[in-house]
Amino acid sequence: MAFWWKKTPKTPSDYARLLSEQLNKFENASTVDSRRKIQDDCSKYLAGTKHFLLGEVEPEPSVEAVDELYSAIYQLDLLYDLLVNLAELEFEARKDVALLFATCLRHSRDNKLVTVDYLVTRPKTISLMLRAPQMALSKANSSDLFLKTGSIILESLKYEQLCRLMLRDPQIWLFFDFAKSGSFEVSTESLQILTNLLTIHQKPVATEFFSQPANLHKFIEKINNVMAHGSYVTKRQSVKLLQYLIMIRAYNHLLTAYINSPDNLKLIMILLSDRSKNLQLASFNIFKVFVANPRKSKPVLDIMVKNRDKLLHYLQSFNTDSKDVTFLDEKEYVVQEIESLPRLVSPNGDFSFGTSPQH
Amino acid sequence: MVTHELNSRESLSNDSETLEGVKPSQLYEIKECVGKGSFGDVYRAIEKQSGSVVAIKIINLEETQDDIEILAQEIYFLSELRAPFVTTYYKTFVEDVSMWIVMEYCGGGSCADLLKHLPEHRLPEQKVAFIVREVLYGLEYLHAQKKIHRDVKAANILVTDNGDIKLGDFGVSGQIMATLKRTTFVGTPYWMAPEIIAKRGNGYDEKADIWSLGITVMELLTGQPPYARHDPMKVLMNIPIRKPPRLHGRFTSPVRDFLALCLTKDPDARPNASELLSHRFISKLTWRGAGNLKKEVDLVQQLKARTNYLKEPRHCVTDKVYGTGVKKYLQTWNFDSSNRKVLRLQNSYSFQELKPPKLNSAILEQPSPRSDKSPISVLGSADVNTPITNITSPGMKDCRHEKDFDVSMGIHEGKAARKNVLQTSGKGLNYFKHVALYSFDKIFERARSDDTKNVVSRLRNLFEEAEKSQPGLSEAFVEEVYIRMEEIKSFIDNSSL
Repeated sequence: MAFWWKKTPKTPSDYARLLSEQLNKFENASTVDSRRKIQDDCSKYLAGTKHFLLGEVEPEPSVEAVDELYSAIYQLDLLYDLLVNLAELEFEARKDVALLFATCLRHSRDNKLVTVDYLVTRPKTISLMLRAPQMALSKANSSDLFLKTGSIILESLKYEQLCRLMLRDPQIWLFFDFAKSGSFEVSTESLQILTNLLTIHQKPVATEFFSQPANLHKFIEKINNVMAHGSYVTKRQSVKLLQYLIMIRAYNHLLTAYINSPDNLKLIMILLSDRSKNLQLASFNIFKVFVANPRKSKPVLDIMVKNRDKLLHYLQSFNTDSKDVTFLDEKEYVVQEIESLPRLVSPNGDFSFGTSPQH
Repeated sequence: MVTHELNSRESLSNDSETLEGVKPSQLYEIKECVGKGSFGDVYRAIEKQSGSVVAIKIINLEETQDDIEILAQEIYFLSELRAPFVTTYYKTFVEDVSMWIVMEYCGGGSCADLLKHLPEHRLPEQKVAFIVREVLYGLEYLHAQKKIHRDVKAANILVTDNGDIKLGDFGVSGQIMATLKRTTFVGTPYWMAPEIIAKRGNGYDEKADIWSLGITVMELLTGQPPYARHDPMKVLMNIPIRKPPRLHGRFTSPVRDFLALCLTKDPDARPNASELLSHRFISKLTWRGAGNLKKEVDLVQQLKARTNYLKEPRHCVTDKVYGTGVKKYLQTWNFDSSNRKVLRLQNSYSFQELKPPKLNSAILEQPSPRSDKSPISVLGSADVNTPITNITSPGMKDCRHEKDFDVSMGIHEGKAARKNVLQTSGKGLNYFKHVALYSFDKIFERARSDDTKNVVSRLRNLFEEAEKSQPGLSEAFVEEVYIRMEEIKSFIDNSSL
């Protein structure tokens, strides 16, 4: 592929150096024209860097040349500068940035993930990475920018070391808020980030994250909040995430904490009776764990007993057309368990079958 | 954590629409259905504010088999495409349980539409060359970003009102087609590259689109893909084994050669989009400006108008899961924190140790027959004039405080209770009149319809008859109910300590 540089890069590291130079000009660019000029140059050098790293230039670059470019990227703190100025770049250039991050992260020499090791020593960059989506929200075209910055986080989360660093940053909690309030793109991507953060590298999540009661409780509070108040899509994704997390053996802490609280049971029961079939089914998978718990806490048991008849009545017509054998078995088990609860006909308004009869 | 919010259940609402400020149905006016698929229907729509025409694909998320995550990935994919040769993605909304994907509108329909409606059901080489060139531009753009369309075929090549070509319908269908399992049912196998089916090595790359383009060329020239009359599963299995399909009939050598290149079985030997753009079949186009499909589009639109051709959407846009006027929840639960906690008992048995009291009556094992649709009104519901609080039945008034029998002993408790009941009798209490009759009258009041009232009154008469023929029956009945209630209540009180 041919490139027509104004300043022709002589050595591989020139790509990185020229790009870095241009990025740092944004700060002082006052006119629209000068910004446009910098944008154009950035796009050009970015594309050049990308093609070089991907080996898409003729002749194909040597290993030494590629390594030289990587060294320059690290030395110039180029990844940081790209994140800072992402919003300034053009549409196609932003895509190149995301691709560049992914390519760099994958880069390995002698079985070592060179970029990952480098980033571990650059907490500033990791921190900025997690803050970039939030910054994107205040910009024009926020959804698009949010997706780009989010995709960089998702790419980083593939690597355990980076995931562990991110787990320690309180900024991650904000993604619950983004999930609740944003556009379709923003809310789905936020939940995807949380999902990947908590499910890909289970060992550090179990031993370094959920092992801390503060994290545990904050997580439950946050996920309950989105399950209760999110949009239909957010509810479905968050219930699915919780359903998945409590089934992970290593996350025993979470399971125990979750199913012991009556508030959590209330929320799950409300979702169980939601009009959305998908929500019903996903929350059933959480509800069944409450029911199956041999050591139910008193308040949890209390709620089940108080709603025994309502639950039985509700489950009777619950997803009756399902042919899923596992589901049917589980439903039968849940019904049996609830039937074995004492039938309460106490003067507590248990007569009311909720949804008022017709007319 | 969520307690205070949960108590006011009304506050639990789908906020998506209000948070974003607007519902898509308020922004766009849905017109006719212009395409349909298992994943959702596509409508022509007018943006109310600007009056501009858009295409909206509406996917019901309750019905679709695809995970929201997959659909979201496809939206991200679409949002990364901005080029004149591909349909532009604008925005996604969610209303009720449906996703509205707002896209650029291509009034000419797809090339498959053209083939279907044009009298000759095929296109001349020149027109095909024009279409293919535009598609190649689109693919070149896509492939430069390491994106694969995965579903190139005439049905996914769209035509604007002006006769311009746009590569479309990737993303949503593109990603879905990526998994073989699902494609087998939708009839796309005819266009599939051998390496996708053979699944050797690390799968396939963007060259798969080039193969599909070759098949599409045959489709455009002849009206259908090769082997179209054969069973798609058989075709699917044969593609990797057989020699590449060839054109039969009178076609020029440039198109034959172009096709042979596209249909090279080895993807590495197959040329890429940029290389194909300089092929003589494409570069022969000296008549550029006049080369679009405006004439065909106009003709087809006339034909459609004449036959009043309309597509029936597979799903109904107006169907709502959370419609107005329906309750958001199918069931409400009792989450009152009752005063039960105040009533502490001395003996504390954990639930695990205590078996539920076994009674001879099998009725209690049955779920309550009362349902939402019960013709009997709910206590405390709007229909009941007298406000009813905790105590619902006059006979139960003092029950709560009668704790003098041992609940743990299952079988004995009945006897103890019976003794209790017997003590309270004989004070001029007429069980039939004061309890049974009274209760029936109450139930009669609560009955909503005349039908129900009839049944209640019939039952009451039966009861009266029974009491007359077997005096004392009411007393026995009330006693048994009373005893049973006692057992249950004390059990609950015990276990909820």
